[in-house]
Amino acid sequence: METKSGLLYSKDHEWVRVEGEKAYVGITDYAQHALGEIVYVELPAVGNELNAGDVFSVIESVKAASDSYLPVAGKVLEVNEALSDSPQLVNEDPYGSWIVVVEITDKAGLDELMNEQEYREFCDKEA
Amino acid sequence: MKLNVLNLGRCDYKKALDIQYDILEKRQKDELGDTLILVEHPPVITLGRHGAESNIVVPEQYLKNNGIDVYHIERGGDVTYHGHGQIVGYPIVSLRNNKIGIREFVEKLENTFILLLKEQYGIDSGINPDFPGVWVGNNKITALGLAVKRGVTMHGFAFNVNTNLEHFKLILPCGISGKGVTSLEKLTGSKVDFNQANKTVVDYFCKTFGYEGTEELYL
Repeated sequence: METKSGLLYSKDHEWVRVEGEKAYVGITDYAQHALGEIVYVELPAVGNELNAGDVFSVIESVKAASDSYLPVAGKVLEVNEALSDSPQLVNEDPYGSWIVVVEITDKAGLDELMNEQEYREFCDKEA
Repeated sequence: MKLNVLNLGRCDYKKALDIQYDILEKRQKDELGDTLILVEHPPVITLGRHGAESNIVVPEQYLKNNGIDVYHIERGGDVTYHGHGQIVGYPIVSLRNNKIGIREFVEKLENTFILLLKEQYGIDSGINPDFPGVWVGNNKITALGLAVKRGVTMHGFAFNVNTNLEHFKLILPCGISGKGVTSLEKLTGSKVDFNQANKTVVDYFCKTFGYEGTEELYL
């Protein structure tokens, strides 16, 4: 399982890269592996204001449609349109394939997330 | 852990869907353990999240005249048909508690039917890496289509026992052309005891997923 330093991680296996007021959000290597071959990534509408824990994407793999949850409250600024045509990018490069960029509306939510080391330990316990 | 089994018998698709959501919520909150809902639906067509209407090959009016409803639902996969003689199962299972991913869960579900068909009926079946479900040669006997919400599965499988296979001509199953469907009745050459088949499905589900027995749930 690969992780990447400098990212924050959620218990639902999403990653967050904070850049100033913005957060890039995707799913982790652990998540893409558990899902298997991804055939569809449903993207939210730009401008949507979401709370931490709200569904921001539905990722469909081997006949299962799995909800993904936004780890931090934010307003959707951008969605990764490339995933509409090439959902397998999430399998190939989970940390390079962000799904959404949000403008963080409540930074407090970031405190709940794990750093790389904590996330690795969390995954070891899950497995 | 024991598996809760809720057998709805013959039940309308919409009503069973509401029950699924109710059980799902209880499972998410840990108010209920893993539960397998079993049901036999009256003829109905459902489309997955990205199912194409064009895979329903008969006119809408024909469906209306024959009382066949069409539902768009939040599961994976394309179009499927449910009807009498088919065992539909909705596993409401916590992936987190079982410490498995959805891919492994689907593989176990496929294995449930592969084992059942082999050991109980001497039928060889397998999976097709391109087309999920359980296949006997070029024909699908069990369709799969799941969703995961907050770590809990819903929707599930449809196992053709005594299904009227003519009804599959209403659709292009799972949007795949050049493949067919089959049933236990067709493969064994005679009608199969439906209640017994339901029990067998529960037995093999428990065996594959490692549940220590079952608990009947009643609404």
